[in-house]
Amino acid sequence: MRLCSRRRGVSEVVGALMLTFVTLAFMSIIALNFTASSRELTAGYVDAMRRDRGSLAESLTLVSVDLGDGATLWLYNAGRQRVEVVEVDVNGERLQLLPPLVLEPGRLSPLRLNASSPILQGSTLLIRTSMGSVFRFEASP
Amino acid sequence: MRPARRAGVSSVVGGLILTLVFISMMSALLTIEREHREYVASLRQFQQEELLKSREDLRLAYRVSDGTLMVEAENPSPVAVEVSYVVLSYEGRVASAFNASCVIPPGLSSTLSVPIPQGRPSSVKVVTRRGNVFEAAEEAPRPSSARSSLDGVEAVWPEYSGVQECAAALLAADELFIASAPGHLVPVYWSYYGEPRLAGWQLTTAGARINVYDWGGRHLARVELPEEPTFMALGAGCLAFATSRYVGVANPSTGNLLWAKPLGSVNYLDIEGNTETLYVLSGGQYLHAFNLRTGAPLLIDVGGCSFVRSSGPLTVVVRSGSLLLYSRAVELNRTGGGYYSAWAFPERGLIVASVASSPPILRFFDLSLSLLKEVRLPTGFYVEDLAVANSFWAAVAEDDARKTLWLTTFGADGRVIEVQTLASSPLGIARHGSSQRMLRGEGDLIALECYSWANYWKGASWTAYSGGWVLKDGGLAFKVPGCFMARLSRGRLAFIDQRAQLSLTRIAEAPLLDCCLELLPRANEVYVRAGGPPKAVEAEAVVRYGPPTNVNLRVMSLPEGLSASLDKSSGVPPFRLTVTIEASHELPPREYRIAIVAEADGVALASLPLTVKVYDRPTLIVKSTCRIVGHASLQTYATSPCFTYSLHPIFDPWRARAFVNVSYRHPHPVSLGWGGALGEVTIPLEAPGPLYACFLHRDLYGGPSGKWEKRLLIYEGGGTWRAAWSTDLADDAQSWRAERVSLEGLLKRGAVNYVALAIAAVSGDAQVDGAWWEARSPMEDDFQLYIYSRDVVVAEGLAEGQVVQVHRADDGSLVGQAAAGPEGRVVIRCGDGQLDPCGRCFVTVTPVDGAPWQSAPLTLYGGDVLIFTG
Repeated sequence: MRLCSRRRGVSEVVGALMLTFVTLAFMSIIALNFTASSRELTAGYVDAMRRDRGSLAESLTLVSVDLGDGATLWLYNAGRQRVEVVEVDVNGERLQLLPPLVLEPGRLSPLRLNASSPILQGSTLLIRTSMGSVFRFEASP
Repeated sequence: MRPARRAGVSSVVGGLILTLVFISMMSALLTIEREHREYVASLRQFQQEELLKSREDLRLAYRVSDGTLMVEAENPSPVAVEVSYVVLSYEGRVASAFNASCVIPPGLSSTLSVPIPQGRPSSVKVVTRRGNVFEAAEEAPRPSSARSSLDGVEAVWPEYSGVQECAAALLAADELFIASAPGHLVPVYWSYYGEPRLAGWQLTTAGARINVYDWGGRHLARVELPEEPTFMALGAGCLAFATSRYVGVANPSTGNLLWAKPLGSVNYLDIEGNTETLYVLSGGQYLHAFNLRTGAPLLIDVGGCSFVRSSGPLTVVVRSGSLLLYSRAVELNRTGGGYYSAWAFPERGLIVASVASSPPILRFFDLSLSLLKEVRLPTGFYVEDLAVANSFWAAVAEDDARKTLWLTTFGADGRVIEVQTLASSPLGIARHGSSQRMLRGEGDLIALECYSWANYWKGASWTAYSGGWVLKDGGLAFKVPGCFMARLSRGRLAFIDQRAQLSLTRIAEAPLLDCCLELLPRANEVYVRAGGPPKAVEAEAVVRYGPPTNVNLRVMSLPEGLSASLDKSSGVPPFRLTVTIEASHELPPREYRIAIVAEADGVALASLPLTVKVYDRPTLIVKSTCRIVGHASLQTYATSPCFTYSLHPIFDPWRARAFVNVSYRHPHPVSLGWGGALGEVTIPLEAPGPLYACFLHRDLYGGPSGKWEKRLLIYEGGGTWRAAWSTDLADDAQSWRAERVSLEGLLKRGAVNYVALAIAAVSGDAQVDGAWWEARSPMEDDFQLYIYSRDVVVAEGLAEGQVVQVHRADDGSLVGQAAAGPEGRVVIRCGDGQLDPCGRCFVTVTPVDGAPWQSAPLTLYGGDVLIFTG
């Protein structure tokens, strides 16, 4: 009987310890999971805001377009930071710039395009930067 | 007890976990809050900058002076404007961008001056630091100090800048653009209506923008059209316009757009001035009419129309071969019969219509369309315009091949007096472009202006020829070469030619028709030093037509401190006269304008405007006769589509630079002939000989010889080209090789010359691989064909015996020298290759005020004219 009652006491302790351990492990996993997803969400939100801030600091002006075959865009960086132009969309045709055209603040630079169709007056030009900003212009000389 | 202890453990564990979660959330919240604060700050800064950007404004006007572009920038906005760049475009292509770095405080003005690489730019834009782009308008003609009266109205004479643009803008207008004043006949670009009040505007066009100036050159208004206008007409105080998609009317005095309606493919528009009705021909056949003031449609889509012209209260329309007479968009009368074109002359009670038969027929009607008479024309003529004078009438016709424009004059009875060629295509090929000519008849005279464009391969076009003619008694009274504008109205006649010089005058008053005089100057500008020696300028009085009449000469508009004397005060032309001009010590150094006037019986027959530039110290003015054909001005010209040229661009952020690549054109089969890049160049009259051209060329052709040639060709006229230089493409010019080509005797001075860089196929079995060659300037990485006078300069404005020496700037060695003769002009021959085409030099003149005078170092080009103020 004594032996039995002692054994019974041991299993109670072991059971309690196991229960505590399982609870602890479960709760830890849930807490860690929560903090990780919270950090991820925060990082995503912060990244989006930083990108937006970067976009706000970017400003491009299309000064002139030399129209016709092999047109040249004259772009001016009126923003506070350098702009990397990575893609130009001309009449629906996407032209990747490799390497990207880097425009320092306050500088005017030509961008020569070799689009398959000529750029005419009134053509719509979409210019995409590495920060994700998209500038829309209408071609005019 | 045991359960209590377990509960304590779980509470601690739970608390720890909660603390962990809390810390994690707080840190995330703090990060987000910090980033959000920065984002809001950026957003505020962005909005602030956008607000400032939207407030920026600049009023810009530019003028070209001595190879420099001066941009007057006025900042009427409440914010300081920082100018970053001045961008110049030629023919719609950016040629250069200059870093300006200039801050204009609110309410103040500043002048930006930039060198211009070639002639007058077609567009000048200013880019601000905040990214705004403003376009500058060409400055209005600025009033000079010379004043006179015009029909009781105080008039200010404009100087002539941008005349070609003004003239082109107003050729479409149907009213008078002439003002006459004693001593001058001044063409000002006015439409006046509502006598006796003189009202009107001077217009200049810049893309979709029309600038309106008042009598004194003050900017009145800016009319912003939806697009660049293709047609314009002035009348009844309104400016009617058509663009590629719209037609509308604006008020030029306020700049307000009265109305605009979508209407494309406009071929012609005209204003019925007396009834305020606008007629528009679109789509080659649809006639529309609108109320000029409100735009209310009066007549819509009358199809089958091919011709419409308005005059006074009447409009004639040719529709499906029938002739219709309209007024206020209401059909008054009609008659059938295969008509091609028609004109109304309500003041003469006449309607004249041409019938497209063989031979063509002209029919004269009264205003009720009753036939008065019929005249047969020479076969193959298509009458484009027609004018009627008191005793004769004239028609302009084009032949079937569109190569030649003919002028036929008829007596009042319809017999042909004379048929003459007005102009034929200068390059000997059929024209594909449009041409303009306008006949005006009044009293005993008919005036004609004519200019034409030609199109060639690749859609290139330019003004091929222009000229003005005045007819009297059915014959040619006189001719104005290069006339851009001729107006004959309200008893006055005026021409503007390419030099912006004006001609003649009152028609109603007899003396002027009897003798037409012109004063031809040797130079339009005189350079003098205040307190320096007097300077003389020669002129010639010539009779354009009519019997010579004794004329009196006098000088007008002399400011105090400037004296001018004539060596003769009267004479019977033709004769030469010398004007001697001297400036006193006290005369402030600047530009003055004076005029020499020739009068007969108190009526001014001709005037000679002179610009006197006064300097306060001895100065050497360099006028270059070297001319450059740049890549921006080239056009494709070829005897076959298998030849072309292209530009090989060179990366340069500041200017558009390129080599010229003249090549075979895929996939067209090779045919014998030649083609490439065609440029035009005007060689100044004073350019001394010998004329040369220099350039570098290279190719990578590895094929056999005798198949292709590189050529530099000069157009001789009459469809003939001469090769000034040619070499086989199979030469050894694998790397850049310099060529100096003599063009003396091939180029005409004082005229437009056509120069072509070409590749020629001289064998029918020529292989196309490597069939190209490139050319560029010897001095820079760009195509600039220099045409210059080799190793020679001219010095003027010297006293007899003064010695002029040209030295190299680097080592001071003497390059050339000469002593002035009695005429004060000397040609200095320099050592071989010293000015080929240019060199860095300084000039000494001995003696000046008893001692030698030396200029600062300057770059001299072969052929430069050095004008010394003394």
